[in-house]
Amino acid sequence: MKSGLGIRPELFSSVSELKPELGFLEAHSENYFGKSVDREWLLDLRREYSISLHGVGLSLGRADDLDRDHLRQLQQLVEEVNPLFVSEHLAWSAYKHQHLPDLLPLPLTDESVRVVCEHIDQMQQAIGRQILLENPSNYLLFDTLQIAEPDFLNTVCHQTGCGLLLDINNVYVSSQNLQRSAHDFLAAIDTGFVHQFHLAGHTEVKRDFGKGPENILIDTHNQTVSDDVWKLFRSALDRFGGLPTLIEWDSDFPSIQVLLSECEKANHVLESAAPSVHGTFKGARPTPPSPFQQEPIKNLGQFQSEFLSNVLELESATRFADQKHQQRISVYQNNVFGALKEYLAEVYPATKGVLGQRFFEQLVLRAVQKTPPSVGDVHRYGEELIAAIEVFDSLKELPYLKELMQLEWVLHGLYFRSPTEIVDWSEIPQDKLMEMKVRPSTGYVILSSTFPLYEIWRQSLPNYHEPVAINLADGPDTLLLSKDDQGVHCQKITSEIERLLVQIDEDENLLQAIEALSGSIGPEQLSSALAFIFEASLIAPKELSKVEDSHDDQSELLTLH
Amino acid sequence: MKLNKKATLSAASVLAVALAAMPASAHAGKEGYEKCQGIAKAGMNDCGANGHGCAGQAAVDADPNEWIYVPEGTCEKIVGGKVKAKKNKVEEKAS
Repeated sequence: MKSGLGIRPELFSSVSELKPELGFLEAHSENYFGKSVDREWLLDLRREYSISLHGVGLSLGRADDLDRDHLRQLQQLVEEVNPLFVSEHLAWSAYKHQHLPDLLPLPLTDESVRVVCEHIDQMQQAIGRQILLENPSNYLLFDTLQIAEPDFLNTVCHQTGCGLLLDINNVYVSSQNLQRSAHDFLAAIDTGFVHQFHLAGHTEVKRDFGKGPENILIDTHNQTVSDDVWKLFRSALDRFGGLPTLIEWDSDFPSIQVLLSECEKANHVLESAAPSVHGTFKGARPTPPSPFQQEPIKNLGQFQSEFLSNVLELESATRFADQKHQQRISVYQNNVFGALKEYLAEVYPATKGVLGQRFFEQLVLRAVQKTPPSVGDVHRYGEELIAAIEVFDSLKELPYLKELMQLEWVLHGLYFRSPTEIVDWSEIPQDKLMEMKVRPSTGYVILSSTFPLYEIWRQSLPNYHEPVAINLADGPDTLLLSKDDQGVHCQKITSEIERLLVQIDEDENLLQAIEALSGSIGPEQLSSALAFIFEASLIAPKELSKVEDSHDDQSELLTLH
Repeated sequence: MKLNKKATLSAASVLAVALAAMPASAHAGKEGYEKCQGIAKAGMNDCGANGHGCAGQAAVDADPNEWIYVPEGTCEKIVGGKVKAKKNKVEEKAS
């Protein structure tokens, strides 16, 4: 099989246009939860390519229960996509009500074997198929008496029937960071368990973890695969044979040509590989791990709860790590806060424009520390940022800020909902129109603000390059936020449109609503408002049943304050 | 509600005018309405993209304990909403 490419929304259009020859595409499952435009793209690509689903947020290693809702969403996605593989990581991200967007290190103890096996059983049961478990990038060691990672992986595969996704870059990064042998790692993995390889680029950084500067490799997925990793890949092929191989690239995207030439390079290496030994494992059971002389981490839940607070409180060290690695917790702190800053800057681009990058980042830090994410789908996180503005005295001088943030949060939410309902009014005869019962259509939001919110939003977006000219006295504004198959939209509408909509909602009849307002709004404005309501499909005949999940997609009229 | 004939007529004409205006009214370019602003690829669409990855971050921010006190974006240019350039004290702990 030709090598595959990690697919991201940034690459949708070029892959759809070029239709390059690829073995498969791999998508991060959580990015396609909900009814986003991205999910439609992914389903379209399924016509041309096999898709593999790679989870990053289920948190198999969490000491408490898996998130049922997350599993249900994954199960629905798996059903729709019918993927080539479904994979997750040997890592954890969540415990109790806190869920951080990073793959946190799991102490490899007997208790962790039990936890991970139980969770893989549940995952495989929920989606009705085998999953692949990926070895993580490691930045710190807990204790030398832990189970060795290859033994841990073998044991889990043996007990649950799952397979392995061997990330060659992660093997390399971990071996360098922990000063272990990458070749010993490969040699200790039972050959029959491996089903897939990952290849990616990493970044070498110099950090001071309290004992002078040292080099550490970060699994950044933002550059070409290193020579050493290609070499290790060849060794892996010698041991495991040729298997589906993926090039992962997740940020700082180069041209599609660069990505395709990495895939080409992988194809070239794969061509020389012997056939896969996959499926030939008959064997002898993997050697059980040697019993511990002492267990450094007695209770996984207690460890996870404390480690989370070490990360969130930006503590300079964690007592759980091996003594010389205790300050490397900063790698995880940097991952968590860096990822959330990038993500929230995309949810709140205009808010960031209003505050400037440095102030915005400080707001994010406060919000995350006070109320971190609580679920594995990060897209549901971000409303917490609005409450965090109360902490800053200087933000009290920006009375419009809260409303701007509410606007951006509503837009973000619409992105994951069904598109605004479309009604074809030309089908309905005019005389019938006068008598029929009508209702607001689904999937849009109208916001009323006392400020010139539209201009504040528009002129603070990163793609606005004209001189900023806003006068706070130019409010109030009424805004329509809607969604179509291109994405979400915000536009300014007249207050007459909003008043007419409210009246129609109340009267359920067009003539009555027009009449009720005819004393206070002139006939021309009323006609024009009504034309807009038809055109933008803001109402629908009542007998037309609402789209599925109507509760979720109910339109709203919000007055901001 | 019982409608009187005259009112019904005028309401009907409002409706008729609205319907007549419909096919041609591309509201985006119509006077009185702001042009509908879609969210560019660089904005909202990417939020689906950058939401989840499994990669780490190499770049390290400046010391997060070095607080800045006054926002410094477009807020400085909004007439009637300018932030005074004074050093406001940030409350030390958010919890």
